[in-house]
Amino acid sequence: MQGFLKKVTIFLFILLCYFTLLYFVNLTIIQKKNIGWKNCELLIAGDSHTQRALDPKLAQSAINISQEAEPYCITYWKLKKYISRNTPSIIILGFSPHNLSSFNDKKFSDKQWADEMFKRIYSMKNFSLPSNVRIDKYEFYKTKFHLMCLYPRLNPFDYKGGYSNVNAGDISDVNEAIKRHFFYNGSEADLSNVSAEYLDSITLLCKDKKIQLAVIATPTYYSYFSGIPKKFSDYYDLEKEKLSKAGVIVLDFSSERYPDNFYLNADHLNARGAEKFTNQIVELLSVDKINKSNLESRK
Amino acid sequence: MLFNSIGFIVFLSIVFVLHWFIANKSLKGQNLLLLVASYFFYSCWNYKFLFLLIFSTFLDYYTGIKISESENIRNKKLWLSLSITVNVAFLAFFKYYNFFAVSFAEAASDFGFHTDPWVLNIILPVGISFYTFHGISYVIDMYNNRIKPEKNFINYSLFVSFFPLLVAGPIERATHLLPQLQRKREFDYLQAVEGLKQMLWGFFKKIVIADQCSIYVNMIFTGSTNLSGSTYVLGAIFFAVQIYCDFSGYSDIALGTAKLFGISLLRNFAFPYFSRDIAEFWRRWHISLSSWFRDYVYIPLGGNRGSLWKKIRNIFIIFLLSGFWHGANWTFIAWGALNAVYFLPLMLLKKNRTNLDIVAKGKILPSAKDVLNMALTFGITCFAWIVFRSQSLEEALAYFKKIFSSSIFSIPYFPGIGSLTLTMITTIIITILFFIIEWLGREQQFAIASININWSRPLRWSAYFATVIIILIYSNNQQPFIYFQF
Repeated sequence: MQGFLKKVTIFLFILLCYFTLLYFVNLTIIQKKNIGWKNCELLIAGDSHTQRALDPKLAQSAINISQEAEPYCITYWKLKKYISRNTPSIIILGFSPHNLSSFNDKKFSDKQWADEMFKRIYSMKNFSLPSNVRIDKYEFYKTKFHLMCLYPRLNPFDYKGGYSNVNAGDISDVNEAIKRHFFYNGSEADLSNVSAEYLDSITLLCKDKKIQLAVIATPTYYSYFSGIPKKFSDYYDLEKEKLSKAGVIVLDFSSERYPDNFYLNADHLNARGAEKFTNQIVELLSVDKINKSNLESRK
Repeated sequence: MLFNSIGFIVFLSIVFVLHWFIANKSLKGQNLLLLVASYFFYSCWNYKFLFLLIFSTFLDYYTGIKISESENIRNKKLWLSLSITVNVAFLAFFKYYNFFAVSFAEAASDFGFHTDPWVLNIILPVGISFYTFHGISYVIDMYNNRIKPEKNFINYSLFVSFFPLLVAGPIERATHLLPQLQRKREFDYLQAVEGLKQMLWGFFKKIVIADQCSIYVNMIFTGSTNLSGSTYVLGAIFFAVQIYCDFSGYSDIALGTAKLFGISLLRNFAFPYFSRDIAEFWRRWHISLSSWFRDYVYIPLGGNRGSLWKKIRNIFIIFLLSGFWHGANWTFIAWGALNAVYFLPLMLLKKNRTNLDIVAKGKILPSAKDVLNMALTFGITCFAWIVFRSQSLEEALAYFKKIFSSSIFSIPYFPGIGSLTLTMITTIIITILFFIIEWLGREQQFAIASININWSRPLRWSAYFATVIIILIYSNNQQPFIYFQF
């Protein structure tokens, strides 16, 4: 028995040493490796709406760091990280009614999103969530162990984001999209104070760094747009007004009608749609055209 | 508490230490500890059903004693009937009631009688199909004077509820397990090491192979309808691999765990995909269930004795029962019937016991004939698995139709993923390597039982480390064991 336990203990000890070694290897990679975000004039951030709708190749000196399902708390951290080394002139932030839905607050506790979120945040230094956002700590540390202790991950920046799209289209998922964004466990979701607070923080961050912030709602299919529960559209309008008063450029294209074949699905543009939309935005935001008369009409 | 969870590893470590350091002074202490641990393990699933388990245990314990005490055959039969009836009634109520109610209503509506069946909104108690069969085999063995009654309730309860086999078998026999629970167990180093090795191999099968295959299986069976014929063929093969690695992986973990406590459980799998005909496959697949039906249904019905029609009837009865045991769905019954159809010609031609030995025993490579026979057997098995995996018979028929389309010779393609991604190629390569190891170890109780016995310790340990790390890397896609639902 003693011999058995001794061997099992040695085996586990060697395994533990391996995990520890790998942990430090991965930590070094995270600290030393450059994420590869270039300096730019126009920075695009947000979730899948801006990730799919704005192709940075069509604008001069632009990069898109948007990523699907990204809540504002991660966007805020990413912007802070980007701004600490670079100084863009304009930041475009995706801002649509679904960004104010409380389903965003469940992304660190609900299995359907949590695994992906943990994969992104494990390498974010000093990232923290407010106390009113629940986090499944067991799953988080399990994910962190997987990504830090088993093998060297040469590309640990899963939060990096970037434009991504294809030229396909299926707009039959209107109901699913509405359900996904504005309902949770079968009933209408709440409004997210956490998202609104992070939006304020992003506004302040840009103000401090003297960067012009422009929030943008990308075109969605009309039946998706009209299906948004009133509670969310009303709150969205209030927030828009607040942002506008704070000097933020507000560009709302959510009710803009694009041809059906410009949509990837009910709430995203496809590559064809992205091309048109990016050109439209670039035109609108080109330095000499950022003036009030041009932008007022979009509010 | 899943076997493939951290919770189980912690639970097992605690029970192991308590068993060999605290409770090892007496047999009573060892068995009591294992019983408490088993009830705790079961309560983690659903503590309410623990009372059902205890009731079923007490019923069989009591009727077992009554059968042995009865002096005339009439009383013996009475107690036996009571035990079997109550056990089957519980199983029928929880597992089959809704199926019969809905099927009856559907049949009635075909004749113009519209009924609104009263269905139960209950979950199936975990392991009920397994522990019910434990109990039934015990009372039947008692009735046939194969064993003496177990008077110690703790020992008997542990026979029914021993946690490694409680939720998905192997279906134990009192003649095999009870004697091991009636004597104090001493720690056996070699048995414990073998147990750990078998557990490791079980985890590898489940986490690295079965759970990876499940991604593609779920995608093909429940996902898009516009896939090529070749993709559907790949889906059937993936499912054949998944269900084997899932269930035999579970069995390996169960057997390995039991060995840590000095207990040897019945073998459940013996490399079934290396079978050369369907009869051999059934001698190697879910052995504890097949032999249960053989001993308690097939042989009492007359087995292969009697007229031709009686033989055919008996074959169909055990295969249909075997299918129905898996669940209340026509797909399982059809799967059983299909296997009976496969088996029948072999039995009628008296070729069902041709391949009793291990394929290519003592050789590295099989003969061309063996390869052909194994491929054919695997092919028809995959065909039957499609019925087993489908949600309905209509779905199974649609699957067959899709396979036999013009696109059967095209490259498999998965919408949203592509044709052959790096992950899928990795899964296929690991699966091929896995079957090579299984082939090399096919003469053992489990593939890696003695494959590395002559290796130096650093090499052997390196292989163990590599296996553990591979298992951990793949462990982020944990799926429940398929057979837990049965």
